Amino acid sequence: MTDSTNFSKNRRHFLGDCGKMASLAILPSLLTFKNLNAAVANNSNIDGYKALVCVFLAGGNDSFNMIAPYSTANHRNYMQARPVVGIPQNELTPIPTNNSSSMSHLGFHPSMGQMGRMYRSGDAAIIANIGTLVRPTTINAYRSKNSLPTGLFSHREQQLSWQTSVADNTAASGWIGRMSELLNDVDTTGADTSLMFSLGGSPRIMTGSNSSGFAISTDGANVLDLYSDTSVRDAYNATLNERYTSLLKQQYTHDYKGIIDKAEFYNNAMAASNDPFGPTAFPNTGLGNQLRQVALTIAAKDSLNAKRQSFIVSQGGYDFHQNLTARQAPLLTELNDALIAFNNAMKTIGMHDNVVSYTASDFGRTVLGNGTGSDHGWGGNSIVMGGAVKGANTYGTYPFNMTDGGSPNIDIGRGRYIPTTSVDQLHADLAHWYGVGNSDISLIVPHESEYGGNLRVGLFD
Amino acid sequence: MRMALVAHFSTTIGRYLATALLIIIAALHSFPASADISVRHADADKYIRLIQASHFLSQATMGPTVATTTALAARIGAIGRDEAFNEWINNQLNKTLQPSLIKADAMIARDGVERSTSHINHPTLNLSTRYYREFAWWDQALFSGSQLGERMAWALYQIIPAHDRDATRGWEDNLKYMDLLRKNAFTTHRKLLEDVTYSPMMGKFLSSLKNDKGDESLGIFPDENFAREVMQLFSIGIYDINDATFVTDGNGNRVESYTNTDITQIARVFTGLSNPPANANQTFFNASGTSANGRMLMWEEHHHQGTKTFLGQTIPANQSGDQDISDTLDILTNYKTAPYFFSNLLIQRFTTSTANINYLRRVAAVYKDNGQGLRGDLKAVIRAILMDPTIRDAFKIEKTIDPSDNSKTLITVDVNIERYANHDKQGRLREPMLQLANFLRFFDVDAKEHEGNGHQGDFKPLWSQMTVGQGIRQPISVFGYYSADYLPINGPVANKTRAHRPVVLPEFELLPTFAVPLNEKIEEITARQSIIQRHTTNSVFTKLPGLARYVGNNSLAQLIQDLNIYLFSGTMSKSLQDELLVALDDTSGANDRIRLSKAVAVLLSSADFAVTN
Repeated sequence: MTDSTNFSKNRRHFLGDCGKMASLAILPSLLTFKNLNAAVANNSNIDGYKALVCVFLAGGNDSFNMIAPYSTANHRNYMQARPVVGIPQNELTPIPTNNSSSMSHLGFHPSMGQMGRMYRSGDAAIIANIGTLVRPTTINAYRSKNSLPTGLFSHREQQLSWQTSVADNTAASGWIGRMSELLNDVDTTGADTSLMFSLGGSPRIMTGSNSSGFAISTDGANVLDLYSDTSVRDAYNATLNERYTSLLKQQYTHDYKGIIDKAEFYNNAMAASNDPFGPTAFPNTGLGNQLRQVALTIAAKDSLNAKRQSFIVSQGGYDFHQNLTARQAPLLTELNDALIAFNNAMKTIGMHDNVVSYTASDFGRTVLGNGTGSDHGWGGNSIVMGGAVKGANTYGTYPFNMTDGGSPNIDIGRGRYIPTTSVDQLHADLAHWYGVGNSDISLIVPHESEYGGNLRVGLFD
Repeated sequence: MRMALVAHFSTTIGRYLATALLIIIAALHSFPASADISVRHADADKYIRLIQASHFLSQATMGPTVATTTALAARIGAIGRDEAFNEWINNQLNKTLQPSLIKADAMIARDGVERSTSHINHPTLNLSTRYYREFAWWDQALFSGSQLGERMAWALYQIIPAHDRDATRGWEDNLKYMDLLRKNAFTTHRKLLEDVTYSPMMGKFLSSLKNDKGDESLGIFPDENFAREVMQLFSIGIYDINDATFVTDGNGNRVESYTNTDITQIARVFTGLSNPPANANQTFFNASGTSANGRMLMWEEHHHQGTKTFLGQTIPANQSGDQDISDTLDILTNYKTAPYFFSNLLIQRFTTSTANINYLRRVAAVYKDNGQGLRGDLKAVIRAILMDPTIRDAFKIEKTIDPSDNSKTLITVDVNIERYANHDKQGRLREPMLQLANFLRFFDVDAKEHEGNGHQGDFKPLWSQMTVGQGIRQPISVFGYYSADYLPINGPVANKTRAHRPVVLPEFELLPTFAVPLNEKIEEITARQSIIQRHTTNSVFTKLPGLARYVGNNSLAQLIQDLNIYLFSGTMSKSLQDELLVALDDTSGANDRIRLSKAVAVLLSSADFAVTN
């Protein structure tokens, strides 16, 4: 598979999306990468089944309350910074920052006590003060605006940066989109199978240069009765084969082409697979129902003919500029209950070691408040969950000293922390686990070279 | 399978050759994406005027109808095209939009539903008062004579949304906020922003309500929420714009207009707003009164007294809170990017997602000065948006003798006018609510249809919002239903976009959400309203009142032609028409409602309907 035709085809797709908005900074790494087909074909990790689930907490989760400092001195500093919205120490579920320690450095939010216990059991890990970066960034680099992410502190741009892993190019494709296309090139069994599923919307994360996530709902794919009528269905499909000079009409037909066939394929495969979980395995909440559908889709992997599947689910409403304490708690309860159920479900079907889930959010929030809420920040904390994860560990550097001025090297004001671990580093670990060879990581994380030998977080063996 | 879909090429080989030929033709010329309409010679000019009128009304109203299109076409015949459109605009600009709250109250009174802010079901109608916020919106959108105002209010709501759940006093707050936008449909950008800034519902939505000045020495800062979004989304945008083009740096990345320091400074301005006290014991933090003018009240002791420096300007310390807000809104609407940023948002809601640069320049120039020195005049801006030659002359409409019947004239609409730089990027996807409104208006959905069904009249589409993925008063976030700068990452558009002048398609962000095309959704909604009978897969829109006029001989062809003229502005693909005629026409020529409704379903799913040029 070192055929030069394949090589140029693939190079075109990746350049086609990353390069088009002229983010010149990322071009060199793409122009110099090696023959990716050969790299993937040689990668034995492509064997077996794996699934990746992104749990997107839209609006900017206040993750310094989701996972707060616990040890007495640090908690006192935290309460000093957050006199109104801070969580009392005795309400937190204490956890160690590494699995060989008996000390309790951090604490999970009272809504997430079960999650804290799951972390301690080794099924989950934390990435501390993670966020979007173009490269490792010092406070001076921030002040001189040197290589900063586009649209810092803005919901839209930061959501996109988390999803593209190209923080200085809001027009880049999604990192899972790029990864699925890369792996699908050698996964002939799944050629016509959608590997990427989105529960709602058209999130960038699942958008590659030639493919997009397939939108399903918590009830499956939507195909209504009308298309069971052959004449209507054929006429409808014919409208999608019209040739237009209008780019908008071209895009419209492009976006809908094949969607009915895909929906039927999915629904038929799902119908052929039994529900191994039962009606009460998942909480009847927005996120619970989404993760239930994810679990069912994973359970149906054989009838869907899939070796790799990726999913994005989301939970909105985290933008608490006011009344943070009262409003965040029920959302975190929903998150906790859904994640616990999903982890159990994966054990039920023997897929616990094959599935990794992680939380992402627009940004962390200001540690110093505005009264009863917090404003848009930058770095925050993520949870990574699954049997393959080296759990009960906190990766990266948690900003323990939260007093005003207590973390001067990362605090750009009001406790808006420059991330000490990049989203790119998390994605590099996840991509490698999912089956991307070392030599192809730069396709998934174009700014890879900025991290030198420190790229990998170390989540997996 | 009975029918051959591509009837004009009877064999696979013929089809292949034809396709190859078409590719060659397309390479040599612009591909003729237009429809041909064959009419009697004497009628040709009348049909051209109908197409011109429906094209205009598709952009200026909630949907062309046979009656409104015919009336406007007649005026074109009498006084000329642009004169007729300007006359129509003048007439519309002088109309006052009826407040939605008044409409809702009238509907509630007539239905005999209990007037309550909470969820109380009517004993027999299964209706709660709060549903009337949606009923009133639909009634006005579909049936109001102030169609330009309705379209404008809907546009403003998409740009400056507030969410249902932030209605502090039940469903009435929703309507009050919508009425605020309706009242400002034809005022100025500055006045609109001021009313929005003082709106309690906006205050709740973006937490400027009860936003205290804080105490920075104690680590308590002003809430930045409204400050950030009023700049980023409602007035100037985050990126620098020079002469209708995004400014880019040496790496080709866009340059931002301001930093987070500007945000922290402007955040000081929007402190001190709360409700008026309902009694003497209430404070800034628990005030629950309502002022006579419906606005939040400035509590000076909770307003930040310091200087505020942002966008290179400084507001002095110790001014009144109201003065600070006034100065700030002046700075924003006078900022250099506002004419381009806000004009472009409006252009996207009416005519095209991506404006060609000269079009945007012309509209922005009108924003800067309406001709009488007034800045941000929405009346002048909407006229400039609708009457620009890029938009009005987007179609080339030609007449030739019909080669298959020389007693007839063939009218051809070519949407590919290459004299405009962006011709292939022009147009917009009708957003789901507009598609639905277009469809309902064309097929004469009216109140009477529901009588005898327990309802007293009015179109009452329960849950329509959730069903089409675009809920009235339920935007996904402060970004509304879609991002103004959404662009598809793969597909035909992706190759055409540039950082300084991107091709954007906001409404496309919603497409995969309703993974099945809209007609299915319409079926679901209308089924609940008994407009259609849904008990078999064969009945789609069969009870639509407007469908009745097409039942009978040769009616399928007539239906297709009318949809082409009135809803597609003459742009329906010829091959699509031929395919439908073959797929659905009965050999006997007797077209029943089922067959007709299937044609409607397919047509409404097509790119030709979804995209207006």
